[in-house]
Amino acid sequence: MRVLVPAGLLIAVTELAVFWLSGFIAATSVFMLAVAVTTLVFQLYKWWRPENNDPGRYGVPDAPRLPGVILVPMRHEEVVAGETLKRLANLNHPRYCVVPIIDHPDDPGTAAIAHRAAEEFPHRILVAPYPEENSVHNKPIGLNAAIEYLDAAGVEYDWVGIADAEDLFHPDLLQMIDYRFRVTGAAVVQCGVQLMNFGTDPASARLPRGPFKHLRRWASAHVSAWWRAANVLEYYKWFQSRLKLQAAIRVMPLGGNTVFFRRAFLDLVKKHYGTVWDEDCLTEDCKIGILASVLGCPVDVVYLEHLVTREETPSSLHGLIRQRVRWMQGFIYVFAEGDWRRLRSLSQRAIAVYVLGFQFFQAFTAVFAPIALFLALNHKAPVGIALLATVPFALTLLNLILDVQMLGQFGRTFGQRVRFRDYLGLIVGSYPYQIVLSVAGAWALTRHLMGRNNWVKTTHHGVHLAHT
Amino acid sequence: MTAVALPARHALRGSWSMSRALVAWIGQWLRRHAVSLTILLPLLGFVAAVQITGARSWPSYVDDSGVYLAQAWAVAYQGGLSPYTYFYDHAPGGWIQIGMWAALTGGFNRYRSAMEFGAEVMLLAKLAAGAMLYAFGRRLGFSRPGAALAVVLFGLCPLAIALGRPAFLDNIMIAWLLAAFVLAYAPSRSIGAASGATLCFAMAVLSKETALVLLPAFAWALGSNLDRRNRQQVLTVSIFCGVLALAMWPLFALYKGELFPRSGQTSLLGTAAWQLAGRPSSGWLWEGGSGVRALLDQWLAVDPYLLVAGVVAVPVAFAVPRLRPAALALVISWLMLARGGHVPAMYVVVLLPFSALMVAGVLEALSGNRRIADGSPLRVRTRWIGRVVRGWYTLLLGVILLIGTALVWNGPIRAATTAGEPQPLRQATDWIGSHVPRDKVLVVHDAIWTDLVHRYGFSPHPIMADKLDHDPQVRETLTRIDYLVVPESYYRTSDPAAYPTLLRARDHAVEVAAFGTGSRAVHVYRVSWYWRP
Repeated sequence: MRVLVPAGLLIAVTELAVFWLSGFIAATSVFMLAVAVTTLVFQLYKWWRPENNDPGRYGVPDAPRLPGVILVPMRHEEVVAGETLKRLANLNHPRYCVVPIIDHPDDPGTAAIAHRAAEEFPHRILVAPYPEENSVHNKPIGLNAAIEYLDAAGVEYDWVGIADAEDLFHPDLLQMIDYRFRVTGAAVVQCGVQLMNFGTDPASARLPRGPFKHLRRWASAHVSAWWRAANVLEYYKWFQSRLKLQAAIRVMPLGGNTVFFRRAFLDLVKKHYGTVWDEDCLTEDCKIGILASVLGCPVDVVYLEHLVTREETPSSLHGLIRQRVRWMQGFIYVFAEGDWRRLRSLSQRAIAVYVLGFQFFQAFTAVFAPIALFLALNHKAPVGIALLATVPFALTLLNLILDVQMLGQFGRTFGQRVRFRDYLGLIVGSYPYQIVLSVAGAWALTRHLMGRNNWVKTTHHGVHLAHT
Repeated sequence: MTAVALPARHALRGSWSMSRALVAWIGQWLRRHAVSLTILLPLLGFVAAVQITGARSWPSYVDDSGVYLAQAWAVAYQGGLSPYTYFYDHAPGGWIQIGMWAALTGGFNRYRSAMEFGAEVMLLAKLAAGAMLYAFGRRLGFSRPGAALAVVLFGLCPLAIALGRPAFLDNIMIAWLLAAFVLAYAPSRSIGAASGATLCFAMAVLSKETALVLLPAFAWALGSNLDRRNRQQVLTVSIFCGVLALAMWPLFALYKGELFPRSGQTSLLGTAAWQLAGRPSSGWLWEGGSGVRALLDQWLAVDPYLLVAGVVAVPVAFAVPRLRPAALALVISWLMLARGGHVPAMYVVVLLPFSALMVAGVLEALSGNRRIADGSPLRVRTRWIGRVVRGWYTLLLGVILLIGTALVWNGPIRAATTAGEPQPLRQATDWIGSHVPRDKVLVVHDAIWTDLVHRYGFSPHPIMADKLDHDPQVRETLTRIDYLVVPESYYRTSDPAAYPTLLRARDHAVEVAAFGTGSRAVHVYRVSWYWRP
């Protein structure tokens, strides 16, 4: 039954398209125009007004004073765990503690590294056990267990931060978080996360094993550059613009790491929902963000170039698709669950629908804009409709121009050389990248309808460590 | 996970609502601009009253405005750009706007004549332009009286009234153009404002393509109001938006296969080449007896003061950095006049608001207004006493200017607003409506075409005199002509090749009615049944 309804809808739309092509093109063009314009506005928020991009907009942090913990869920992270824990144990903040969450019987390697680090920094690192009786492994179960473990151990904390196993926080990050919590009264502070390895630089890819490994790495870096640059820029735009705008209008899916919660907020969520993080949801970060919006808790977003958490792009295109499928499926789950319907104003609910469905709309628009224009021109649609179909297509072109401009800006900001072939990869890859996103969207929808909900984890290789 | 006890929606805090944000924003805007609104609204009301009173009888019907209204009628009722072949003579934006207003409000049904509906649209354009001129002045740093002075000069200038009544595309263009400048000077310096500015500029060009020559002035204005922190994105987005909107016209032609010249077909580039090079030049401004000189004399006969004052103000305005882009706009407009190409009579419309702005701006600068005069040779170097003295002198000058204006403009405005002789073409239309069967073929002046089609329902549609010999579609289908309804000036034209069929038809016609006197006079001729064109 759940498959039949969309299938029937699809057939109805196809029928409509065949019998009434001009009207169909006009309707889709108007929809695509709305998506293209809002996409532009959302991603340009940082530059919309000069003051949105003022270097001093976050203020100068004073001495930190709130105690806190940083949770680091880890599973089979032998490659990066040691480095990450060492870095996290040495941040500039007087009262905090790092809590790696590890399933000891399942993952003895990482556990050994974590305990060695805990011995080295006895007052900084405290290993929390993943619930062993649970055969399912996912991030929200670990996070919830860690919170209970901390409460039972009587650790004193005012805020909880979340880091992924490969996240290298900037030493001054906690000062800024502490300051922003106190100045803005925010319940959640989301800090910038930035993918770093964008281009054809061979050092941006993993060195494979076997013969001709350098040559093969060079080749694979060049072959994958087309989607890496687009992926890097997505983060660049999300964290600088989209999230800021969504925080301002208070509809907010959060990021999965470098996000910090006030303890009072977590208690409030627990009071209303029984647990803090949703253990059935593939994107517990999105879910808790929506809950923050529903509960009316303000969110602050901080993106300062030198404070961002640097990450790597997925190791392969396949990895990227799997990551997107997981996100999109998580968003579908959050949408279907319907907590967003509790948002207070109609505008917020409308924006929630838009935000949760955005990845689908965007993929749809980018893929169909040229097709709609082609159809309009080839099927002798009235000139007015052909002109209308031109506008969304043109706006995707503007998006591409802005992307090229932003890649140059990204290179200047983070001191990376952007070569001509990187720009070329971005331009050539922009359309296929949208197709990839559309494929991921279709796959996610199928998985959701089929009720498959298992965890698809992103693998970490520590490539970004070379850049820090 | 399932909710245990989710709070009721009304108990939740901290929500954001678009309608509430909008209401708050409007309230804020009204409070911030309350003083300006109390000055501007009565002023615009007065300008509107002067503009519309007596519009029925003066000035006399012009063919151009009749053509635009017929094309607007085609937009509203036929879904096309023209009742005849659209041959890219002008960008279609202007009459598309008129047509959309007509379609939305039933405009052609609300008046006895389409020309009156045209006057209504022009009134709206004039009010928009007046409001934008005020905002433009304020954003340049004018005081409120200074900005209001600019509106008075522009709104009540007899030339602006005379050319502001007929449905000329320039009147619509000028409103968009001023809006573009206002947004280019937006203090927020946002991407939205800059894109709005370029879109308005594109609308101005699409309304009347001559606006394109002011691009350097507009670009200067936009460029002088950028912020280092978002300059790159503002420029990329706004330029793209403007170019995209402008590209709609050539794209329209391209999609119709009418962009490049092909034999036996109209084309955008073909018409553009003809307009730029092939059209007879109006001569040079300094040649006595040239067309453009005659035109200038004609304008100066209606009102010499504002145009001359604008020219006088330009050198002073160039000394003030803040006024330079607007001064450049005025200079470019005058240079286009002097260039020696084809110049139509309504070209002067673009000169008027910028002249008014320059006069008011120079007065502001002379008075020592810090926001304008600082950074220019006109800045006040003395202590406050000098500032006050200069302010008083300028106020005095302004008052004298206003009194002088009132004196010299009193007569022309009075003449324009008193009901004069009825329009002969209008009388002829009414006569035809009650005496001529609806299936007769009429050759008519452009200005009454829409009324005969829309109000009197003539079918087949009457033929505009201009199209009779120049539109291939008309000549192919023409089998007979029954009546001729054009002013006497058409028969007295110096060039007999202009309307050969019309002249031959009159040789086989008898006069059945006559209205008015002189060259405005309209004689209705019935053409012989046995004559075939």
